[in-house]
Amino acid sequence: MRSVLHGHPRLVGLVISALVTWLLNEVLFPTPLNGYLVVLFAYVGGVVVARLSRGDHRYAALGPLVPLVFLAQNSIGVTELTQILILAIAALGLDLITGWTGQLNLAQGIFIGLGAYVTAILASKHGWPILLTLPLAGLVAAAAGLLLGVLALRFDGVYLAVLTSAVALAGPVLLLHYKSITNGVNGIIVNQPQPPGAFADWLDTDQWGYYVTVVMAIIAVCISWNLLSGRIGRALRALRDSPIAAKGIGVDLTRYKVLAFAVGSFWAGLAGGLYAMTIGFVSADSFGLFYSIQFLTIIVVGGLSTISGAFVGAVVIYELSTNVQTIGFATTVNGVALSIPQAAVYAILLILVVIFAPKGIIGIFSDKSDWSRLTQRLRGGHNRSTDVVQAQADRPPIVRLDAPEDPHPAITSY
Amino acid sequence: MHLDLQLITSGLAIGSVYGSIALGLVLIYRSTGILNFAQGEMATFSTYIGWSFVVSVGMPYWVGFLLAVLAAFLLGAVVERVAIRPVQNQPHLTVVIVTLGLFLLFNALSLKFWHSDVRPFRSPFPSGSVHVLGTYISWVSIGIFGVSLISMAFVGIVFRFTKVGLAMRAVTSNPMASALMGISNGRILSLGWGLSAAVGAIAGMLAANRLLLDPNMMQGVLLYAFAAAVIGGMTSPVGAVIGGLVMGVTNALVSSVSWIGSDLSLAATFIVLVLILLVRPQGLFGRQIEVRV
Amino acid sequence: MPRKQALICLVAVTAVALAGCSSKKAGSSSEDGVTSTTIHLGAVSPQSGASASFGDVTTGIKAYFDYTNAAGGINGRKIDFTVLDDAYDPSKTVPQTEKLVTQDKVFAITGNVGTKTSQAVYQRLNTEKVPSIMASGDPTMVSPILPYIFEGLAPLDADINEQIAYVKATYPGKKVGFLAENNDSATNELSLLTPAFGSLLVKQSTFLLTDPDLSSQIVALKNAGAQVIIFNGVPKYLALAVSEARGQNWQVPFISNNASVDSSFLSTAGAQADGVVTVTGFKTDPADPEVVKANDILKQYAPSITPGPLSQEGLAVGQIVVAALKAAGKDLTRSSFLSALNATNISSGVFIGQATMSPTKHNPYGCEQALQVKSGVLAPIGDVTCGS
Repeated sequence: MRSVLHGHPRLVGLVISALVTWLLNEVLFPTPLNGYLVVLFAYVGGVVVARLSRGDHRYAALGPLVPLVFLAQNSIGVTELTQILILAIAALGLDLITGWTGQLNLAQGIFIGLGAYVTAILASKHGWPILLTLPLAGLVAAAAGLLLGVLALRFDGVYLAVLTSAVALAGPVLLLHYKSITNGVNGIIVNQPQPPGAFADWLDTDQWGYYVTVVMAIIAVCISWNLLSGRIGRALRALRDSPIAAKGIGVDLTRYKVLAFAVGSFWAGLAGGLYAMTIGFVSADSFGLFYSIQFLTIIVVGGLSTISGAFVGAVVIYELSTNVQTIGFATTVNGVALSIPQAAVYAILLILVVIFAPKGIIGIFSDKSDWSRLTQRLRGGHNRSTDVVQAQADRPPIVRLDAPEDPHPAITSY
Repeated sequence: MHLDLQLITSGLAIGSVYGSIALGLVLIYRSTGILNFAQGEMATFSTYIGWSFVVSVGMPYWVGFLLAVLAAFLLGAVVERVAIRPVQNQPHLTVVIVTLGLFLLFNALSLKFWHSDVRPFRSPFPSGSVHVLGTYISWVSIGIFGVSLISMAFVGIVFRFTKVGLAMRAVTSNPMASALMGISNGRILSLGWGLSAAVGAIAGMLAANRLLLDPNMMQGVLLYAFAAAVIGGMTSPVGAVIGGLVMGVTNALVSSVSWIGSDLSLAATFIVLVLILLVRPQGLFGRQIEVRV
Repeated sequence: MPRKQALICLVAVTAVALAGCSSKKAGSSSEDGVTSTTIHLGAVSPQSGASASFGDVTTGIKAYFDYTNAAGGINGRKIDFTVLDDAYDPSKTVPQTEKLVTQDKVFAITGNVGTKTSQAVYQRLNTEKVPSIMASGDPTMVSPILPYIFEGLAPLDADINEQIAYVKATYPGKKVGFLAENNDSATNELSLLTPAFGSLLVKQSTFLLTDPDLSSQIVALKNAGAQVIIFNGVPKYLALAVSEARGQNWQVPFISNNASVDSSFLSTAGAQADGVVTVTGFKTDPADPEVVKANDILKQYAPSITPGPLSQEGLAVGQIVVAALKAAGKDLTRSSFLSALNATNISSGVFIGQATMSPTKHNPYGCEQALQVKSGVLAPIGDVTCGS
């Protein structure tokens, strides 16, 4: 075995992590753990084992995919996959705004809500066919996004975070207030569409919703791909990596920032339309600030400024937030079983993923990985000054929450 | 708008709670350059620790209070060391996600250890209220206001007049130079987080009597505290407290406008905030930073 | 780099499409979830997030099921109860409920908690022919009656009518202020209050769960000249409202909704709680044998929570489910379970009066009583009223 694999470090990583996945799933945690959690543990375990055996840890991440295909049948349902894809489409939009043009946006959720209301109102109050309402949901959200984009030009860093969180807070309140249009707090029930004639024999309503969502996701990916691999993509990259230099060579900063907001909000609106169609119930208080923040975690965990990151992040965040289970211990204290509640497990895993894969899960595949620097740091080499030099050398100023220059001038006002 | 004195005093009372949480945000932002989403939840967690010392263990109030502040300081320092330092050199958004994770973690832990029941927590200040100029102001609110001023002065003095404060500014503005100057960056950053958590714990324990102690006690406050810190310019302790008062009074006043009312007051308050920022994008107490091409 | 991304993308799309294909048009059959030794039941409720406390309802249900299992189970079968978390977000309720139905293949849904989350799934559960008991209190779940959908919490409209009756009888001609959380039950309540009080309803003031305090709401009600406040919300906000009003030296009477006066309200409001009136369909006297029994079960099987209205109502849902499962007999099918639910008639429990259901009445409760806090304890005032 060893001789066969010798010289194929990538294969070693892949095989080992696949084995670890299988072992974890079959032997160690036969029932209490969810499939995705197994994959996550397997990934971490696979990377560690692969490193120790001089395999290539980057490819270890692919290993769990093999058993995943078999696990999927038992652990993912069509409705769940639909919701994950909807999250991913909206996250793709947010990535355009936050990842590619560096504008921190905490209001993505309200644009989903806007799209959801457009579809719900047109479909259930005016009898439109749902599929026709989807582009309109996107366009209405895009128009609102355009407005916010223009407003956002005035702000940067934390100020932009507060502007967008103000929108995220005020949006649902306004939607609830205008009862005559939105039906207020009672929400709107949307009848889920039946699959059209030809499909009705072999698809049920949920599966129809799923395939519509898949098609929309593919369209979103293709358009984003085209947009980002061409001239606009290059401009955006320049803008993100060095806004001042980009301006200097003639990239129209204003135009791209606003454009990113409009297009990003379009995808959110489309995702909202799909939400209304597949959930069948729309109520404004579902689209609050915490719903929006979920999309930030998706793009960071998946990998900023990558299309696939939005999808990987959506799977990980959705599964972590719903299907992680309480980790129980066999001991009891004063008769109460000791356990880590599921929300805490989610939080700990989220922090671990971000610490161990700071460029996102997709970042692990990238050519220059953070692994070596991280292990160096974990081994205790706390040479802060070299660390900082290193970090400043390869740190792209993606989203800066601080002011672009020295945030703490020597003379501060009191 | 109904210019009711009672509304203004109520707004000032709740605004001083916003301001005292905003102080902790400013402390971390200034010493580590991070927007800490977990500030409120860490304060709630520390408040529960204090509650356990005082109510469950039965310690005298001030002993429990001091122990909780100390515990909060350690908690903040440990959190910085364990969760923040490994991502210190990553893009700020990554760090923000870690603080969001901490937000969820501390919320879940408070819920796990103390459950969702609302708990009474007595205030060190006398109960009842004073009757001035036709309005009623509770002693608890006066106490919170006073302590937020003391915290503000403390933070201001730390920043301005102590070596530690100077080191904090040095570490954020130029980590490499400060390391070369012999400052232990790590220790300074831990200190910043510890102090911020301690300030949050003080705010939480004093406000618990008014806000009522439950695991989500600080979630609403945090939103206003962010706004307060931003209005105050993010780096100024005085700005943070004044920003808190501005948010509290604005919210109280807009809710008295008949066509806004309490159901739109949240939206209206934040629209006012955006308008303030449009006029002064750097906040009321921040300095405009120019970026040249 | 683009080629590598394309590859990853391709793999992902293939995996997703595969996963979609693999789930066949399964649906659910009437034999789902029952084996010779177990009955698999499920529910979705908030276990995390800001509304995690609603999860106490399913904790109460689970306590009753554990209690039943410990006492020997039902006709030789034990209940296996799966509770999934939706964090009170409808976009998670749908997949989680579907997971229970299509993958875990539960026999019935017993206690999906929450109004907007139940709104998102109750029609699809009816279409899928899964007997379902919602724990929402929302009267629209059961009117019009859907054959598979039942409601397990006390109906809101009964509560509201009892509040109106009490205020009309005790404070005739007084100006009424309405203070409520801005949610659908408040809108429903307003639609009943407006015709009942007409111009006497001088002010409605709402709050959000993100509001840290209620000072501006109380000032608004006071300035509008309200003389009685009808309150609808959770215990914490009732305590905030009462302490704010008393802090402004305003001794206005509060008439609050069911479940808002619980032990946490009584302990946080302290002496200020005295005089607050509440209406409820459930027994509250801690010395009542049914309440003692309920609290004993909760303390033994749900030690992590403090017994309160939500967990006690959950316990009652468990009691109704267990009674119907027993009545459905050894040959348990969904249709025999439905018939048994439709014939529910339980004479004693933590609820006031009887719990009865029929093919035309899918909510078991209807009796209400007004209570008042006296020296820190709830004491009944007035008679039990049943039916509307």
